[in-house]
Parts: sequence; C-alpha cells; structure tokens
Amino acid sequence: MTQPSAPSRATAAFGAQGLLLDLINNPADPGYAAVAARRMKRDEPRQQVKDKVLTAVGAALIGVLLVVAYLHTHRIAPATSRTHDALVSKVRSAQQDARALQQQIETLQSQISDVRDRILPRAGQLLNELQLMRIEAGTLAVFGSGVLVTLGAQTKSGVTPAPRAGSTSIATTSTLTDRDVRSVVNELWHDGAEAISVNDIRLTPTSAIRFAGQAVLVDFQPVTSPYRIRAIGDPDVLVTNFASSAVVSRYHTLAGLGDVQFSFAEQPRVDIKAGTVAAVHYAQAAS
Amino acid sequence: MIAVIAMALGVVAGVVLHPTVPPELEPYLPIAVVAAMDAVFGGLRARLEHIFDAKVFVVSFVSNVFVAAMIVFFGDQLGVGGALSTAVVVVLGIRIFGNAAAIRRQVFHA
Amino acid sequence: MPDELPPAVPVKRKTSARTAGALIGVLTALLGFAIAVQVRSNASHDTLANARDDDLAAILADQNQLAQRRRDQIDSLRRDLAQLQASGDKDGVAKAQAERETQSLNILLGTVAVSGPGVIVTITDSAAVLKAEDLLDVVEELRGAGAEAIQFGPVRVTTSTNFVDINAAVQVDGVTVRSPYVVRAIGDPKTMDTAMNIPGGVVASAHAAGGDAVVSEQDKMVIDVVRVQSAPRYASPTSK
Repeated sequence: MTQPSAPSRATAAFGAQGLLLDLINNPADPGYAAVAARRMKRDEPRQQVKDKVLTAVGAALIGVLLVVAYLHTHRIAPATSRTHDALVSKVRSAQQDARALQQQIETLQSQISDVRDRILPRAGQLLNELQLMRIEAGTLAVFGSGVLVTLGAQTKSGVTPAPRAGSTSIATTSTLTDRDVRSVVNELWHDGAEAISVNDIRLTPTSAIRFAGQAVLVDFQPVTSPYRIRAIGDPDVLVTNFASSAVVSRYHTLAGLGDVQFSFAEQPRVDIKAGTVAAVHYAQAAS
Repeated sequence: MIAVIAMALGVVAGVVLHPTVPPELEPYLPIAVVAAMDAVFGGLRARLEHIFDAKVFVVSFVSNVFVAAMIVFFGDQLGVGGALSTAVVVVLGIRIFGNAAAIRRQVFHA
Repeated sequence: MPDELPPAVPVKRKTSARTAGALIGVLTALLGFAIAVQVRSNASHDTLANARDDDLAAILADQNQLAQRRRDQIDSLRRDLAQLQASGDKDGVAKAQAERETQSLNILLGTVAVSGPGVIVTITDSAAVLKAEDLLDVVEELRGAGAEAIQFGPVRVTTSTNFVDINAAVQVDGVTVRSPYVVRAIGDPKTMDTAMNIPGGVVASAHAAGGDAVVSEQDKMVIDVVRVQSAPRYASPTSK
C-alpha cells in the first residue's frame, strides 16, 4: 500500500514479463519491505528476544541443511557410485584415446598412399586389384547409390521423470539390441549391398556387432540409438528386395506399435567412411 | 551476530549428527539448498538495508523450500520434473544474484 | 529503527523499457538454453552413465582391445612409411608393401586358403530350433574374438556373408547348410573358445535349443575353401 506503484505499473505494462522485470529490478523480498512499512505505520516496538530466537532458529536450520547437502553430495558411503563414475570416466577417456589413435592412422595412411601413388603407376594392375579388395574389406571410403535405414529405440515408460542433477535416472527400457542391428545388416548384405556402415562405423571382415549390457558395439566401438545404417548397392534391387523382406515388415509392425522408430529411404548418394581391419597374426596363406 | 553464530552451530550439528538423506527426498535437496541460499542472501540484504525481520526471514525460507518442492513434485508426476527443477533453480539463482548485487552496492557504496 | 522508506524502489529508475526488454530476451534465452542443455546432456549420457558396472568393464576391455589394434596398425604404418621414404628403390618397396596388404586382405576376404591355429565349433541342432540369427551369432562372436578366417559349413565367410532361414535349415550366402553345423575359424584358439562359452553365448543358446555345441581348439588347421573376389559395381572410392 505504501509501495510505489512502479512495480505494479511494470507488471501491467509488460504482462507476463512483469515477473522477470520484478526479479531484475526488485530482488529484495517484498516481505521485508511490507513488514518494515507496516511496522513504521503502526510503530510497533520490536520484540528483541523473540526476533533473535527466530533468526537463530532459521539460521541454524539453513546451516544444517547446507551441511547435509554437502555431505550427501560427497557421500563416502556408496563406494559403488565412486567405482561406477570411475569406470564411466575410464571408458570415456579410452574412447577419446581410440579416436585420437584413429586420427593418427588416417594421417599415416594418407601419407603412405600419397607416396605410393606417386611411385606406382595409377592404372597399375596391382593398385587396381588392391583398391577393389580395399572396398570389399572396408578400408577405403566409398560413395554410391544406396539406402539409409534408421532404427531407433523408443522409451517405453510413459511417465519417466527427466533425470536431475544429483539423482540417478531410471534406465530407459530400450528394446533394441545387437540382434536388431544385425538383422537389418544381414538383410542388406543378402540384398546385394557392397558396403555397409552403422553410425559411420564401416563393417569389415573383422568387425563384429555385439552387445554389452545396454550398449551396442560395432567393431568394439559403442554406438547409440538411433542407429543409422548406410548401404551402397544397386538402387533398385537393394531397396526393392529390402522393402519386401521379413525384417522390414517386422520392424514396421513394431514401429506401428510405437516400440521403435523405423524408416528407410533410397538415397542417390550414400557416403560410407573407411573402417579398419585387424592385422593378421595367426593365419598364413597355405599354398 | 546471532544469525552467524546460529548458522555455525547448525553446521556443527549437521557435521556431528550426519543425518542421512532418505532417497525419496534426495531429488529435492538441490532445490532446498538453493532456496536456503536465497533466504540467506535476502536476509543479508535486508539487514544491510535495515529492514530485516526475523519472521519474514524464517517464513520466506520455509515457504520457498516448500513451494519449490511442491512445484517439482507435481512436475515429476507430469513428466517435466527435471525441467521445472532447472527452472526453479534458475529463478532462485537470479534472485540470489540480485540480492548479492544489492549487497555489493551497500557494502562498497554505502 | 531509522525512519526511512523501504528503499525497495530506488529513485533512479535507470532500467529503461528497452534495456529491460533486452535483459528479458537474454534471460529467457539463457533459461531455454539451460533447459535444453540439461535435458540433452542427460539424454546423451544415458547410455554410459546408466550402464551396469559389468557392462562398463566389458566396454572398457573392448576399447582397450581396439586401442591396441590401432596402435599395432600405427606401428606397422610407420614402418611402411619409413621404409618407403628411406628406400632407394621406392618402386620395389612400394610394390612389396602393396603385395603384403593384398595378401592380408586375401586372407581376410577369403580368396586364398589359409592355415594356422584356431577352433572347430560343431553345433548340433537336430530339432532345427536354432535360427539364422543364432547361427549369425556364431560368426559375429568369432569375429569379435579376432577370427581371421572363418568357414561355416562349406562356405568361406567374408564381410558380406549373410544367413537366411529356410525350412529346417539355413542358407549361408545362398548355400543350404544343415545341422550339424561345423564352423572352422583360424585365430587365437583360447580367445575364440572363451567367446563361444560366454553366458548367453553360442554354447549356451545351443543347449537352450535342446542341442549342443562343442568347441575344440586346434594347434594347426587348414581352411581351404575359397571364394571369388567380387567387384563392386556401385561403390566407388571417395577420392581425397
């Protein structure tokens, strides 16, 4: 009542923005101002003791709360969460290392092929054969007409509280496993694909699609939903046969039920990155 | 001052007693902490501006925590708990900064 | 108690409407950003942060294996590069390296007969319960265990090997194969043996299907089934 009308003017003028304006311009709790004004108006005496006790109680409560929160956050009890976090950070750093190594490999490979290309005749028989083999083995990046298949998991539970800082989230029930990715890939190979990559990881003779708990691993690297499977092949045959396959009808059904997201589309150009093959240590050519 | 001593006592009590937080209340702990900080800064600013009132201090703290927890609780039921929790923290954080700025003005310019 | 108006509203109300509007814009953007980051960071961290410890340990082991493989490759690439650069007969060295790579790929792609240590996995499934995807599991697990050459029944396995269910049998790359399925693989026998015996793995599912799977390690074995090198018609190299 003794408050100047500026804040209320602001509220009226800016509507919903009044709240934010209030926060910016008038951060003091109006409760204090109102009480102070009322006290001035009525000229009540201050109750020293009661006030002090109240303040002390409030401050003590806040102190306890802050300490409890601090101790809780840095709780010693769950050593399991410590090891878990340690493992997660180890995995992440291992992933980073692997990526860095991969970049080194790519640099070295391009250096070598630069030198080689200058030396060996371009149309040389040896290089041509090698290039064809590299394509099939997946160590050469390729492009061509083909198809892009997208397979994604839906979180099944309806009311899933979004994870908050300080709490562990409920694991989303993912219904997709390595078997799902494998069956799509298997069908694509069957329909004549010449090169396939899953989330940009190229499939090679030594790459496996496996499962560890909730993560699908392609060639030892974890990939997450949605799974983007790229394949190069005869645009008509590949897509037509794929579309009429049992695999596709199964996933269309599942998608209809809302369990998964599934779609595929013919692409005039698909780019598939190069992968790596393991070095051969045990096998020798038997003449 | 009384408040500082009391808070220190509260801290000691918290360390000594080391109450465990029940898991149902665990998600509301961050909210409570931010609300507590907001009450502290608000009280400090009011004190510097000489309009401090103990009842307002306690009531604002308790009601902030309660209201924020309620908002987040109902948000959880509707599936937007995480976002609302963030919103509450952001809004209270803005108030904390506003109060801190006012305190700074009082301390350095007054 | 000093007799002053609560200084809730300072006289100098500098915050003009435009500044306030800009501040609002920034703050709402910030709020939206914070929410988006919060929600997105939780979504992206879900996979690893929610994985169980055993799974994380398995992923870590795989990552280390991958890193080791890459380090091996880096070493051999460095050697090759050094050889190329140091050699007076660059032509000869380049040819030799290309031939080595060709030979390696021949082995992996299945165009030459190979010998070496390995395992022979015999899967009996007389009731024909096991399906194509179960048998594909054998190949994928062997690959994951480092198999360098695999023969499934009469078929040499390569990158594009695929399995199709047909009545009471399976077609591998178009060739009908029936139980008992004999899978020969050359690689580290111990690793492959372990891979077949993991919980929920090949041996376990064979037993669950009412059949059996026997893994026998071999010090030396031969895989002499070969396939013809196919020429890709639609995939072209992405020139650098």
